[in-house]
Amino acid sequence: MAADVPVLDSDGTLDIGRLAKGLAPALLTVAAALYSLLAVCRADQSTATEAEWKTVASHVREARTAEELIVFAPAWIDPIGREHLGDQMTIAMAARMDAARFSGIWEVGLNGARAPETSGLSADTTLHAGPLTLRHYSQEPVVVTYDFTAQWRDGKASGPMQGRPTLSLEEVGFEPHECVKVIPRPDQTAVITFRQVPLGTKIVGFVGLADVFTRRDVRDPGRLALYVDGELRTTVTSGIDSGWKRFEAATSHGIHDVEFRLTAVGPNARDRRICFAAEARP
Amino acid sequence: MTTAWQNRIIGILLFVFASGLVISAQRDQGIARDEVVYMNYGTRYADWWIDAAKGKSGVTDKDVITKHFGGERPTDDNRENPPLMKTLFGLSERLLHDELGWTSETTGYRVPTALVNALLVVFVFFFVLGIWGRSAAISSALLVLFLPRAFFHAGLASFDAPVVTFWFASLYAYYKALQSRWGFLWLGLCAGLTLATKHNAIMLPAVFLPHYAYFVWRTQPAEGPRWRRLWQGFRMARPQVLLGLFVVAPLVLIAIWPWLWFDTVTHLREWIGFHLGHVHYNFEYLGTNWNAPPFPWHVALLTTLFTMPLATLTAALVGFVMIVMRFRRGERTDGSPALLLFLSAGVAMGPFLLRTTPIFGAEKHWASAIPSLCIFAGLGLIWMSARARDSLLFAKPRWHRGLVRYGPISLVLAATIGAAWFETRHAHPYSLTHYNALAGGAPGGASLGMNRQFWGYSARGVLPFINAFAEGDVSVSVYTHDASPAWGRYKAEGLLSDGLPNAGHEMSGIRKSKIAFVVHEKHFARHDYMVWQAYKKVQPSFVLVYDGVPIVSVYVRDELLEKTTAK
Repeated sequence: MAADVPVLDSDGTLDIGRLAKGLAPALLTVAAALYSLLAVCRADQSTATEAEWKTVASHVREARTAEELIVFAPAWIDPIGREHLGDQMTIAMAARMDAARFSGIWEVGLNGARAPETSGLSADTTLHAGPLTLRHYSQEPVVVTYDFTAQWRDGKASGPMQGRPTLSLEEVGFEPHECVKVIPRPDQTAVITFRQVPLGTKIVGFVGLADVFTRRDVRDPGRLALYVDGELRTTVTSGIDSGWKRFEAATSHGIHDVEFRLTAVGPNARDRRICFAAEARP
Repeated sequence: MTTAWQNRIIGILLFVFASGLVISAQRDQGIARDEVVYMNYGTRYADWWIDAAKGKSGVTDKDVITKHFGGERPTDDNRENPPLMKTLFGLSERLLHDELGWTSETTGYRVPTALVNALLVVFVFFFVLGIWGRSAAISSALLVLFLPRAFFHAGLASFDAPVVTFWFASLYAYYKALQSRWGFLWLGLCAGLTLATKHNAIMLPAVFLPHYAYFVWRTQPAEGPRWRRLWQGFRMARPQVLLGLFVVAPLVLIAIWPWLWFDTVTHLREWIGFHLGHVHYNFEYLGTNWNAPPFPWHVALLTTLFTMPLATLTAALVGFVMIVMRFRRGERTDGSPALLLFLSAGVAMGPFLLRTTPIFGAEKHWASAIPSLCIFAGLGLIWMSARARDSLLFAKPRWHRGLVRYGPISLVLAATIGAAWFETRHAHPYSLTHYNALAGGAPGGASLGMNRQFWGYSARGVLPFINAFAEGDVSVSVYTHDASPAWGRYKAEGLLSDGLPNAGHEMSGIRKSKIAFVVHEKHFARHDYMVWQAYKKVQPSFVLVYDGVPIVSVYVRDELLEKTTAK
C-alpha cells in the first residue's frame, strides 16, 4: 500500500508544506490515540473523591438550617449526593413542588455545574473541594396562604374518574414529585373543588403525567383548568414529554372557591395519571 | 515456512488470543437479564438435540418440538429468537460445566459467544489479508477485538456478537463465491447461520444485491447490444451466489430450527412479524427518554461516534477517504471489496435512519457495521504510515532510513491499537456506561444524557456490599430490581451469600425487602421513589460508580444498618 509523497523539490530542497501534508493523517491519528489515553487515565479525576464529598458534606451539616434545601448538579450526581447528604434530606424536600418555599439553598456542583433551582441567585458562600463546588444561596421564602397539595383532603372530588384522588410520590418527567393524582376517564373531566380558601395574589402550581410506562403506552395529553369562583383563570395541557409543567394564575385577596378541572384529552386517553401540586401565594 | 503457513499460524494465534481474552474477562461481567432467558432455553434446546442425536423415539413429533421450541404465544419457549446460539450455549454448558467441570455454569454458557467472536477476528484477518496485505489484516483484526462495547457483548451468552461474526462470514463467503464455482454453498451456509442467529440477517440481501448488480455491470463484455452484454455479464458473474443466498441459506435455517419443520411459512411469518412490531423499550439518548417513534435519525451515527475508540474512528475516516480517493482515480480492486464493506455498514445502520426502528439496544443493534469500520481503520493506518514513511525518505544517513522505514508504522499502530486496548480494558466490566474521549468519557456521556446501561448486569458490582448483611440462617430479603432474573444464577455462581432471597417485584417486593437496589437508567428513577416511600428515607447506603458515574444505588433499612453496625 505505497503512498508516494515526494517532499523534495527538483533542486533537492525540502518542501515543508508537502512534508506536513504527508505526515498529517498519521499525526492526527496518533494525537487522537494520545488524547484517548489521556482521557482514560484522567477519567476519575473529573469526578470527586470520597474525601472531597466528605469535606462538602461535613460543611453542609455544620452550617445548614432545617429550612434549607440541598440540590446537586448535574442531576446525574444526585445518587452520590444523597449517599453523602441524604440524612439531611427529607422525602418532602426531594419531592418538592419547587424551591420557592426554602429560605436557603445548598448547591453541590461538579465541575462548575449549576442547578436550575439556583438560577438567578447569587451565592453568599462558596467552598471548593476538588471538582466539587459548594455554594449557599439565600432567598426570601414564599409565604403560602393555602397549600392545595397538603390540604388535598379538603377538596371535594366529582366527575368520572378511575378510583379516587390520592396524594402520592410520583415519577413525573423522571423527577420525584409529591402531588395529587387524579385519573379521569377517557375524554372526561374530573373536578376537585376547594371551597372558601384564603387566596393571595396568585396561585402557583405544577402539573404533569405520572408513570413512564403509561406515558409510553398512552400518548394522549392531560389538561388542567383552574377556576376561581367559577371563572376560568388558566389552562395548561400536559403532554407525555411535558414533564413537571408550571402554571400561574392571578387571584385577588380574600376567601374564594377554587376548582381544578382535570381532563384526559381524547377518547383513547385511558389511565391518564394527571398529577398536580399547587399553592396560593400572597 | 511458507507465507501461507505463516498466515495460518497468525490466524490461529489471533483466535487463541481473542477467545482466551474474552473468556477470561467475562468472569468479571455481571449477568445480563436476557442472558438468563437464553441460558435456560439453551439448556432446553440442547436437551432436545441430544435426545434427537440418540434417536430417542417421538422426539421429532410435532408436539414435542412445540414443547421445546414453540407454542401458542409469540414468546413461548423464546420462539421469537432463532435457536443456533442458544443451542450452542446449552451444549457448551453441558460439556464444559456438567461433564468436564472445567468452567462455572455461566462461563460454560458464554464460551460459544467468545469463540464465535474470535472467529470474527480471524475472518477479518483473512479477508483483509487476501486483498490488502498482512499489516492491514493484523491491524484490522486487532481493532475489531479492542472495542469496549463489542468486547462486552462478546462475553455474554447472547446473539449480538455472534450475529456480527456470521454476518461478516457471509460477506467473506459471498466475496469468495464471486470467484469460485462452488463458493455459493459456503455463502448459503454462512447466511443460513446468520439467519439462525438473529433476525437482522434478513437484511443481508440488501448488502449483496446492489453489490452483485454492480459486479455484473463491471463483468459485462465491452461489445454487443446492452441487454446481451448484461446477460453475458450475469452469466459470467457466478449467478449461483443468488442460489446460495435465497435457497441454501433458508434451508440451513430450517435445518437448524426444528420449529420451522412444520407450518414453516406461518412460523417464519410470526418470527419476523414479532420483530417488525417489537415493543419500544425505554432508552435514554441525548437527555430524552425515547420509547416511541419517530426517533432521532442520528442515533446510530452519534452513538458510534461516542462509543468507538477515538483513534480507531479517526483511522477509519482516513481509510475511507483514501478508498474514495483511489476509486476516483480509477483504481479498482477485483470484486469491489470496499464497496461490499461500505454496503454492509450502510445496511446495518440504514434502518436507524428511518426513525421507526427500535433503538433500545444501541450499538448492539447495528454492530454488523463495526467490522467494516475497523477494516477501513486498518487500511487507513497502513496507508497513513506508508505516507508518513515516504514523506521522510529524504533522510540520507542509513540509520535514519531504518528509523524512517519502520518508525512511522510502529508508532501509528502502537498508538492506535494500544489506545483501543487500553480503553477496552478500562471500560471492562461496565462497558455500557463507557463513552469515548469525544463524549468526555463516562461523565461526559452522563452529562450528555446518553444511555447509562441496560439489562441490569452491573448489579454484580454491589453483591460484595450486600453480602455483608447476610445473617446466616435469618433471611434478609433483597429487592433486586432489574437483576431479579439473574439472582438465582449469582447464587449458583457462589457470588451471593446464603439468606439473601429475592424479595419480589415492584412495590410489594420493596415493602418486603430489607435491602433494595436500583440500577440507574433514566426510566428506572421511579424505583428510587418507591424505595424512598417504603424505607422512609432518600439516602442510599452505597452507590456503585464507574469513573464517578452512579450505576447502582443500594438502600438498607435503618434497623438492619443499626444491627449490622452494632455487630
